[in-house]
Amino acid sequence: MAALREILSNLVLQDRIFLLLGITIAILLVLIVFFAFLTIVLRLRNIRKAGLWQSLEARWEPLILDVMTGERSPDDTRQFVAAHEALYFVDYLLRFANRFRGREAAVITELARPYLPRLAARLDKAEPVRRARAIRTLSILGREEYADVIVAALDDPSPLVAMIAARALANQDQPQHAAALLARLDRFNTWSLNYLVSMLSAMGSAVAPQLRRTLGDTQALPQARAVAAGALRELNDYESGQIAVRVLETETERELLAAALRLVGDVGSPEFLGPIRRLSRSDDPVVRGLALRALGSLGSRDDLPLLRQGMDDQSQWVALHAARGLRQVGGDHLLEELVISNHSKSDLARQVLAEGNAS
Amino acid sequence: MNFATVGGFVLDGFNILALSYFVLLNTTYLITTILAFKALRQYTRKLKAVDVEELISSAGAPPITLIAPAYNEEPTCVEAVKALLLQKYPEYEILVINDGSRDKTLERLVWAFDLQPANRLATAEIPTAQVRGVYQSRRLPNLWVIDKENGGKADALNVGINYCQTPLFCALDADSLLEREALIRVVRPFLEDARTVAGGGIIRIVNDCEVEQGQVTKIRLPRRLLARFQVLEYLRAFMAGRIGWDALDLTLIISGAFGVFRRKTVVDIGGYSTDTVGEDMELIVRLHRHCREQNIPYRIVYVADPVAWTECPETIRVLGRQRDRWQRGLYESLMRHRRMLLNPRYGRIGLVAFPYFFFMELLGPVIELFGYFTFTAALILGRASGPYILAFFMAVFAFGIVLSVAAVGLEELSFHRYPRLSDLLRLFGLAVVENFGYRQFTAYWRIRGFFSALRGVKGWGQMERKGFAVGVGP
Repeated sequence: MAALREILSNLVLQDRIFLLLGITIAILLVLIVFFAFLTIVLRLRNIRKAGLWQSLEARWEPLILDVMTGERSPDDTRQFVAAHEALYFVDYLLRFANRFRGREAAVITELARPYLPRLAARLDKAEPVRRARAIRTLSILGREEYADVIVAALDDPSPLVAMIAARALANQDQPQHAAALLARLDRFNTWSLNYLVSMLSAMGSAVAPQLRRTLGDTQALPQARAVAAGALRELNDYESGQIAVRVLETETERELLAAALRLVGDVGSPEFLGPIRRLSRSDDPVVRGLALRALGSLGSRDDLPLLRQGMDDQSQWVALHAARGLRQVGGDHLLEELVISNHSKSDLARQVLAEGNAS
Repeated sequence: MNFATVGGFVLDGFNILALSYFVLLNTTYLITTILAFKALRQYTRKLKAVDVEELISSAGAPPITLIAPAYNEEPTCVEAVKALLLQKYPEYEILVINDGSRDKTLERLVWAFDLQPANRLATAEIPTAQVRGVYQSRRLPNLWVIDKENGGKADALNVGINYCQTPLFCALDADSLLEREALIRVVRPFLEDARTVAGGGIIRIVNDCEVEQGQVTKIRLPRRLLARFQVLEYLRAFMAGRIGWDALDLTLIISGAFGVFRRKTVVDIGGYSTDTVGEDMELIVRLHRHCREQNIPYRIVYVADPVAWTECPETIRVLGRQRDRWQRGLYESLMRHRRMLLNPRYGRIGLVAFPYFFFMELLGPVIELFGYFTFTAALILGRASGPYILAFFMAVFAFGIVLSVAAVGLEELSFHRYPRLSDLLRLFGLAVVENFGYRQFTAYWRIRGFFSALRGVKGWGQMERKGFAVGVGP
């Protein structure tokens, strides 16, 4: 060490830089070799993994077909799955589970059952992506047996795990979990509204009462209420019209108003027109446009002036809803007048008239 | 102090500047590579947890419009549109914008897809060149072609945005081949985080790969050396660069060949800028600026696995023009928004990403050029020894090789698209060989582009397409 220090102290600046460059080059050469070696190792690992899967598939595929045709019982398969292969086997079954329904799917579930506790144990200590994967597998292969585990995963610190759990519960067609899901909607506040709506509506009309409660709950987050309104609309839930009108009368949050207007427009009736007419004069173009859309669905010829006024709106989108509304309530003559005028929306009027003729 | 002494100090100063540039640039590359390694590991594991097919079948996936501008794309346009038609996505429309092509692009599309004149409502009013006609396919109602006067790619994209009726749109090159699951993969961040306003995927090189029905069926390295170099370059740029920057939430570029955007946000900022050749980067910089200035919560992301395949130049002349244009685009984007540079108002974009692109990517080639001159001068004047200069260049080359080999490693770690071991070994070889000529050429083109931008040169130059290798290859 002392000798090295002495050599260094004898070097002039340029030699020191030269030495530094030399060391840098040496380190870089080591890194080149290291990365090249790592890449080759990764390639070999990938080849080995593919080979392993091939051999496992070759061993398990006839076995599963035998169980499916009843030539073998599910218990007989255990001797063909070594302890260290258990999770591979579960992965393999997962591929089949997505392909089958009914009795075959039940057979797959039965085959997986002995190995699932090991997977569930991962939920305590594995990293988020592994936990998420375990939840997905348990939801498909474990079904009702692991419903509690999946409900608990809604509170997982990882948003990914919570979302996979939510999606799994929605897919299980078990409306009793809707309350748990709706109570935690704030966990998914960054997710797209449409995605959440589709997830909840996938649970079927049995969740409608819970969704109605959420929509009417003034203490719930506006986003959760908007999601509930969207799902009720997807479910064509006529009973929710009255609640949506209350929202229109009392709330001001744009996303919630928009969802309620869409819902009322689809499931409402002419008696709800009061607040819709008021909102068609809103300062917010989104609210205005959707109110005109609802007016087109529920309104009558009495609403022609309001809809015609909508055609003068600066927003092309609002005007589009107004034009379609005019068609719906019998205002074709007003659109035809616009077409032959030099009004800025004459092209729009022509387009909407053509849409109607095409359909 | 005499002239020679002052000159010597200036020379040393430039040498130190070049050395610092080299150290900073390569350290940044190394950091992004390390970050990319971590991010890719995490991402590939996450992919196993998320069922893409389930997302595809989900009605929650937002409808999307694919906008593909086409200018003289006669050899590739039909295959490219076929690839778009094969997307696994619940609800999407395709708008091919024929940007006043002088070849038979429109005629080929009309014939191949049985197009007929149709009406379609414009939903935005971004100013564009005149639209000549709108066509819809008789057989495929989600396929539309809009014929317009020539106005450039950005203008064509703006026409597409004007006619887009969905909340998201995907900007493409008409010659790009999208993989079947590319859309659902690139849209996922929009589902997971409603603040997402833009997302881009990886661009891979299709030259000499086999293509059937608009899908790449056999992947292999191009035969021509120039195209092979670009494969390695793209791997470095996307696998190491963009993933690393995305891990820091600092995405400043989404390739014009494949990017998805929230339509409303893009309309709010007036669409693509038509007076720059780097409209893709300029849009992203402007989105950052707009959202930061208006305090709009937003995310711009890069997604590692959705793939768009594209044909790369195979001649020095065309490649030179492309790189010249890229550098001009970079210059125009950065200069237009130079107030973001080191401005804390723009957060980490203004303080980290923008300065990196400004000093390292824009001014870097110029510093590099000066470095070549000053090192030579220092050598001639005896201010630096030959072995010292040699060692410096060896270190530069070695760093380049490390980064290239690491990028190949990242590819193997994640998606390992090049199945043949020989391809892997060739990529290693290219990592060495590219240092002797190719890198110097690209540096020259970038410098040329920089000075062209200073002179206010506009225009795209022409890309020669040879079409995709269809069917069984040799």
